[in-house]
Amino acid sequence: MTEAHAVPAVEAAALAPAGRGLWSDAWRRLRRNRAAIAASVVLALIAVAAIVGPEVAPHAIDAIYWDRVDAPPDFANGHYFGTESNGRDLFARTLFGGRVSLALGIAATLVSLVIGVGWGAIAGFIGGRVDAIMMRTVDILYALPFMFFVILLMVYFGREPLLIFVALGAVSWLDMARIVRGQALSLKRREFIEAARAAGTGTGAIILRHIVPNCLGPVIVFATLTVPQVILLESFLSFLGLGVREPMTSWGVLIADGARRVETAWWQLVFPSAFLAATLFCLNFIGDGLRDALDPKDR
Amino acid sequence: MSAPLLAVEGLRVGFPLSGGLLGRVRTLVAVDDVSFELAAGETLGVVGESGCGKSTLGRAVLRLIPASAGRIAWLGQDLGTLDESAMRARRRDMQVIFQDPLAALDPRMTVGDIVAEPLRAFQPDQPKAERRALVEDTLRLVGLAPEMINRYPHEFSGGQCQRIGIARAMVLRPKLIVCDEPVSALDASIQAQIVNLLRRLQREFGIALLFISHNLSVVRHISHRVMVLYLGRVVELAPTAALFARPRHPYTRALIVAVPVPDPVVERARAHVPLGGEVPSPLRPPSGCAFHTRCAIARPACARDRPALETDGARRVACPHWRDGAG
Amino acid sequence: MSAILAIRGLTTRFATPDGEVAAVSDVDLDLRAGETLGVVGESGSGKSQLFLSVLGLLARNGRATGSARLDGQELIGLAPESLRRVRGGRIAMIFQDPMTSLNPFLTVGRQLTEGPMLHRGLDERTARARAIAMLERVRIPDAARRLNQYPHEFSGGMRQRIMIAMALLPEPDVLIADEPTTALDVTVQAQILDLLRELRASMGIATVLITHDLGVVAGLCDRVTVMYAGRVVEEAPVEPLFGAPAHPYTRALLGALPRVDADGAHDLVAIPGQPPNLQRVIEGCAFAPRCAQADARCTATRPGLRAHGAGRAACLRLPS
Repeated sequence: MTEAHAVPAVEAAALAPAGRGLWSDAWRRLRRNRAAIAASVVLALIAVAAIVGPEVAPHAIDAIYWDRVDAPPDFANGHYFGTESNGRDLFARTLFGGRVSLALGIAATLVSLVIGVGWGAIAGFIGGRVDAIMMRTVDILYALPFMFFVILLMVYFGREPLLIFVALGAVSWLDMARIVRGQALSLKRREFIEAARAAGTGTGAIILRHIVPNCLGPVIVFATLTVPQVILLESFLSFLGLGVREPMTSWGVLIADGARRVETAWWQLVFPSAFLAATLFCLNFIGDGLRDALDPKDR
Repeated sequence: MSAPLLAVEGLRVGFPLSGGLLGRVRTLVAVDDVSFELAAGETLGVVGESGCGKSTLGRAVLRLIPASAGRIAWLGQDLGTLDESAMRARRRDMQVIFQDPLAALDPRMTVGDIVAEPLRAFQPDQPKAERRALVEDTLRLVGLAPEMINRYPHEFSGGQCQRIGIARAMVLRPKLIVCDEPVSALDASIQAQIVNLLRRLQREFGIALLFISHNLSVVRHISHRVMVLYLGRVVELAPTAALFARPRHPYTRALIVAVPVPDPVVERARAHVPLGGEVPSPLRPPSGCAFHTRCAIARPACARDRPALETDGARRVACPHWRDGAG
Repeated sequence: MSAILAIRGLTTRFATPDGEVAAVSDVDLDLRAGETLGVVGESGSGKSQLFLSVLGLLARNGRATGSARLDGQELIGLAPESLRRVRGGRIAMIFQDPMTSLNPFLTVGRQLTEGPMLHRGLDERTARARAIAMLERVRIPDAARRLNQYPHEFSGGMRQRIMIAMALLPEPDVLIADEPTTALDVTVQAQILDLLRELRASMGIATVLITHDLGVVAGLCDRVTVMYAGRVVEEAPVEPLFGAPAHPYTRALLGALPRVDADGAHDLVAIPGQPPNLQRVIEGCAFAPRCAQADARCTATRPGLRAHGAGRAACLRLPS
């Protein structure tokens, strides 16, 4: 009789490295993706610049220099990106605009995460009439013309920054809810969900403990793609003059102003646009990297 | 006499299928008029080919899918009268093991969390240490090292995953486990480990098993009684030894003959007259006796009259002509 | 007797993100003309990968070395184009799932006539006539009409018959059947086995039957090769292999099987543990950790295949 017989059949696997979850596997794959890692670094730099930049910039965002209207970039006087048509420093304003755009993007995405995941998971898992009612609601909201909705809000409540955020959050969760519902529908048929039901786990606990964690892969990927969507949407609103209010600014506002004066003052368009473009690129690279890392089968 | 652990009477499970141009709803009857009893500590094997409704039957017994008609009684109490929360409380005594061992485990949960899931559902206030001790104890019981508690399902082989599934089913020490093809996805050497484990657990804890499988060899080995299904109906139900030694229904006979025996001397001496045709679609079941289209001893009446399940001592058979073919 | 297919020292490795996996290691195997050879083993034993290597059908990360000669013609390292001709002509294959090999968008008749028309220059009428004859041979009733149907209009058993017909059409010298009945219901499996038995008697094609089911082997094969962890552990004519298995793994496997013709009063003799991880280099006998007879020698020295009785076995504990 050898040693092997005394030990339960299964312990051979104990030799393998300890508990490696799907998340740590995904993290390992993500680290190997150079584009995604580089994008994360760049995005982190942009975020840090947006957070601390306006404080350490040589000029305040609302300081008006009448003698330097539409001045080109000049390192000597601290207007690194030049000034805009009201004689305010573009460097400080670009970084501050980044703060607003990123904050809006992240906040609206968080709202869409919370509402969308909850809504989709409940609709998909419970199914039947509940599903029908919940998803028709989503369809109706989809059908509302977005601009009409925003203008209506503005008319009733005035131009509040909070409103923009509410409006953006209110539309961005619709896609999320649909994605999560689809995931929940397919998860519902998996045997481990049946096993959980047979084990006596209640509906709420199944949604929280099984459905939501198993949806998270696609959800995270979609969230990284929602942030740029929201930033673009805000830019669009600002472009139409429905965005944030002066002296606050955002990338969208700056680009809108810059676009009008591109023939005489190129820097007013180029700098904010470069920041916005870099951010969007980074988020898309990160999203792609996450998708590959979380779902290696799809490659 | 006290009520059996589980008594199923006239169980019928239909799935509505929307189809047809006019949105006419057709019904796929997966299980039709199935009745049986299961005593405490007994193993009832359920065999049949694809489409015979054996997996549906297992899920319907656990009320994981609703029955369209019939009665399922647990120790004499009709489960159909229970509301959702009372039914959930009942689940404490009835657990399930699935065919695909990996698919039955949530990939995002650790082994410890998976096995503890029924505990969380039924004893939510149990102290953590006590719960952990019980989980480790159960892992040991099914031949797994308790140190594996923090690992994830994908790190384990099929046989080990099936042990984890059995641990989850065993952690509440239930009275009934529905085993849905528990060894079909496993290799022969692992299959024997799992079959032996189930037999041992049954001996030690007096669990009743509803053992669903298409593998007649395994069913013969593990069951006390065997029920043969064909297109959702019971064609024969008998004690295992009697069923395999003297099968009565022509379908049972064909099924047993079709299983190859791993012994060339025996296998080559056996009569090989394979049953013709294949299982008809459950959407369009044949009239009368559903088996008449493939039956060697069928007569015209078989296409017309549905045979009743006749009881003869411990045996039941749904064929009025079985004596003719016994040969 | 001469071997129609002679495999020598065949080794197949797969490059995976977690390291190299040796799926097949140093396999020698002969298929003789007219015989049916059973290749048995559990999942991961390398039984399928062995023949995929021979046929040049490995996944992209796999690489085969060694030799496999079909009537003297080396197949390992042959140009893909020449290998394709071999596969469509002298060697034919049947797989577990017929739907992977049948195109769902083409009629069965089209799929059965296209090859012969293309490769052998048959005209359509001849090709069709031969397809009908072959379908009748695999006992598909009403063959002429069914030629115009699509694969999904056939049942699982009928599709497997079509696969067999398609494999046999080019009159191959070697037929490789990989788990041909595993996906089928037991009564349909019996029909297909019956058909294979009859074709063997009437056509005499040398056949490799890859399966995990020892019952199927017992009924159909002349000789049996048992594989474990990528290596051949035993090879013998069917009766001595089942009657007096030499290798402890073969013996244990037979002991672990429940039988439909025996009652289950006693426990099965399960094999403890599980097959080894093929990413690691195995020093001695791969089965030693699970073997009741193993001693220190077994974990240190790798046993080679040696003649034993009517066959060969790879076990150090056998008397030489």
